[in-house]
Amino acid sequence: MKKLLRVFIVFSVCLLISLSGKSNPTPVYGGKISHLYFFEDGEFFLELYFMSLADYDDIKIMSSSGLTIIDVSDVEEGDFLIIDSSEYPNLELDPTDGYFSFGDTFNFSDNGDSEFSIGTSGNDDVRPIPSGCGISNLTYNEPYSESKYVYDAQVNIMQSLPVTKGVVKAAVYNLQDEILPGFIIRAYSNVLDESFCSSDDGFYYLNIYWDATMETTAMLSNLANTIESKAITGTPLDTTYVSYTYNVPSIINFSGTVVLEDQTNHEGSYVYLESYNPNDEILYHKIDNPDGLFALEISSGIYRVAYFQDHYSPNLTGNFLPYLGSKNVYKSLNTDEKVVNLISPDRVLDLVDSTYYLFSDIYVPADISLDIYNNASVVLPLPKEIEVEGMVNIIGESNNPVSFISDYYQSPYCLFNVKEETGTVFSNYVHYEGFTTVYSLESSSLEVSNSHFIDNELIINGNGGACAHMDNCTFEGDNPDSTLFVLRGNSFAEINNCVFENMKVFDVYDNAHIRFDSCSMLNCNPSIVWNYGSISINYSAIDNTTIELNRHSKSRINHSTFLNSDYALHYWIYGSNNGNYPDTSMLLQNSVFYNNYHHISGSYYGNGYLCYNQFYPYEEFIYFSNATDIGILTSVNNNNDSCDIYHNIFMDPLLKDDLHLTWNSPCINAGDPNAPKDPDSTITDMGAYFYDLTALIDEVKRTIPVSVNSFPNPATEVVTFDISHQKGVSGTAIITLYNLNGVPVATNYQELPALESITRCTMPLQNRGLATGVYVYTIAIPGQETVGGKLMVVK
Amino acid sequence: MKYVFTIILSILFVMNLHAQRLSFISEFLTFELHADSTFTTSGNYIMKNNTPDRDYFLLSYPFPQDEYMGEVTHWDIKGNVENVRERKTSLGLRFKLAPGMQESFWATYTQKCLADSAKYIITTTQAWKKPLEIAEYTLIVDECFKVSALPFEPDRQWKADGKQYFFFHKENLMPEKDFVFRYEYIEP
Repeated sequence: MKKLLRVFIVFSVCLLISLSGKSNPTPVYGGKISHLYFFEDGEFFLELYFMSLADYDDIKIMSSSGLTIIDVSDVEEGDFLIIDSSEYPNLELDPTDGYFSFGDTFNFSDNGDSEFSIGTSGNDDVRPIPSGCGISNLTYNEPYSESKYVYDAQVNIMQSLPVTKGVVKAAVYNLQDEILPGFIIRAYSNVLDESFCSSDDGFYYLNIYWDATMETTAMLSNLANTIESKAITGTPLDTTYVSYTYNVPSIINFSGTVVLEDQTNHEGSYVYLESYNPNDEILYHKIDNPDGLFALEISSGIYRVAYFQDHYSPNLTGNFLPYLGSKNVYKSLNTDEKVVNLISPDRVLDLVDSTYYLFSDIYVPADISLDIYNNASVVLPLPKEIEVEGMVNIIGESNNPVSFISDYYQSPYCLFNVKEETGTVFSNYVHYEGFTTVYSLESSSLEVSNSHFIDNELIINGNGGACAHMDNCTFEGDNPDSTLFVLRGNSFAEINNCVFENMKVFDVYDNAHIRFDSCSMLNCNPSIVWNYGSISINYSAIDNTTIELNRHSKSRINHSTFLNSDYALHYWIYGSNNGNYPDTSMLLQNSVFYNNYHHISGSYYGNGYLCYNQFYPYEEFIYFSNATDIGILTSVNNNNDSCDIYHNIFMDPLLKDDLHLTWNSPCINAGDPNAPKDPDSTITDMGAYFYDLTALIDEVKRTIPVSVNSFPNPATEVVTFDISHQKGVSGTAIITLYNLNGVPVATNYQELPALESITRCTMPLQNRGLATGVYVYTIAIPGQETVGGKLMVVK
Repeated sequence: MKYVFTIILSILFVMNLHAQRLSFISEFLTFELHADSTFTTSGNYIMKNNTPDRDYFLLSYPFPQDEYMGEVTHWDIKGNVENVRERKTSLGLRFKLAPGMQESFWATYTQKCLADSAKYIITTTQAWKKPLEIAEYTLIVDECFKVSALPFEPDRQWKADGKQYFFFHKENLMPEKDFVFRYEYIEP
């Protein structure tokens, strides 16, 4: 028996060892393609259904080529995922073989990172994705067999080449072994990709990826000439290093002649030399030779050169160019232009009615005023600035504005650097174009009105308690990422009656404040208030633009309209700790939110005081730790519309295209009754623009009253409307039933006989997809006042 | 008079969905031919989700655009539609519908009529493999046009406010012929 027991134990142990020696059963995590829909333009929706995920809730879906990887998080069994081809341009389906049938199952291979592939073939665990070939576009019942549905693996072929990497390192020295700037390296022929950078060590680096079965060529050049070119061969999948050294003389002879085209007074012109190295001083050489001859010895380097004489147009070379050997030039100055004044270091004038070229910085001391009047045009061909500690008055007229135009785009600089509390700039009817920064304000003040800004990067950079007021200005720009107003350090800006489109408007922080009154923002990039910054927005329209209100910010928004945004107001957080930030607060009242994907959204909790606002469509607000009952409709407002206890309503605001309210908008007289009355002496309306009820009352007075009675109410299968009107009223009544989201759910037409005073109309409620609830009906008769009421539908 | 067929596809939803997951129950539509020859289709489409476990569907809402119907100048979709993507000749809808529930969405679009007849394709109902329980159509035609042919006898018709009204009520509609109406311009 003992022997038998020993044999059994040994057998059991062997069996256990045997079983454990085998690989554990591989869990199969799977899903299936539940829906594939092609649009006629070739785009498609691919819908995946997750059937089993085991312990994974974060997975990656990878196309067979590996070029498209889609991260999916928080996925659960039974979820559907829609992959929209327009969001993943590399993800395309293969038309070359196979047929697709719905319900094909795809398994997630358990390879440790829970990836599964779309389109991989030849793997038993993962069935090949169906190809596009043979898929019927059921819209038109036409087969998709065009070659444009290519598999993105074809793109991947490029990566299967014996690619190699080359690193070209180059530098240009003068004889003092000083490295000269201003050069670039480029590669050409057989290049797959390249990236160029200059380094702090003075060297230039070029990383090249090319087909190593062939030769490529690297080229060292300045902007004008090729200095050196060299063929490079490489070893597949290895790195090839190439190094250049190029020596030049340290001093060159620079000579030439500068004459006037009208052959008068060649004497007195200037040669202007600006080194690429910003630490080098700018050279102004005055020509005292009557024939306009000059001869200079200058260091080898990269220069920009200008030739000018007072009262004539300057001759500019524009770009920086290398001066590496003897150089001789002949320049003539155009004398056709009558008067062109030059502002030079020894000359600060009041400017009026001419074109002025600014060739040097200007300093306006505290007790000095620089006045610039009508029709003056100041051109900055160089990165010069006007430093202001005194006062600058720029006074244009609507028909004769002053203009400041920059011809220099290559490095950040500022037009007006306004410092100290004494520094002040007044600007009226002025055109500003092409500046990196228009106003840098440090403790100083600025008043701008009726001015036009075009293609500037930054309008106001305020710090140190700077103060700015801007009225009736317009802004145009090519760069939607540039921020117009950057405020910090207790700065303040008040912006009135301004229009912003396709730009980022503000970045406000560090106890700075910005206020917008009667402004509009359209299609702008998100603007931000954060870190103890604050904002007020009043009577403004914000269209397709997000305002980000980050932690420690304060916002006061009143009488404004926000629409068509993914996130109209967005609480956002830097860092990883979501939490409650009671010092972040929002006071939002009398405003309209319409057609936003999220009216208010965020990732942390602050205090919110939201009252007398309109939100449509309905949204649940969860980001206010002090008021969790926002959006729960338990009351009615002054107009007898359902609202929450804060008098917020959730109905279609019925806006016109210009964002004004239509006469039957629920926002009329729905604002805070304790707020100042609207100009029509009624309770204030919600939104940026009030509706003038005095005009409507005049209109209504001209109409004949119509009333309606609906029964039964509640109704189940059919509702009847008795429309009362005066005899003689005829036409067609349009009866429309809306749900509380403002969606029309039923419409009927009823002829009104002229000889009757009551017309009965019935509306069946069956088969209309109506759920139990409250609905609103309107009855519109041409030329008559539209009437309506509420109807309870019980299923 | 020219006889041209204009295709007005109001609800040729693409049902590559698994059969019967979604039912098309009924439609209540208004067609209005305006004096400027623009044509507006608007109304409610009632669907039913037959599944117990999913709450949205993908649908295509195509606009007819051919030599008879011009470009769509305006469209709007309201209701439990989560996402609308505008494409060249259609809208892609992500339609939200609670499991087992019946709901509607409202749609409208306006096009320029390039010819003087119109055909509203309702034979596509057969693609849904089930008749429409109820279909109601109201055709409104400006008085500057004379309607010369209608597909069915209207249940009601009248004139008011400078317009002609034709109302059609159909039950269990699974037609084998399309809805065609023809019109001609009346010189003032």
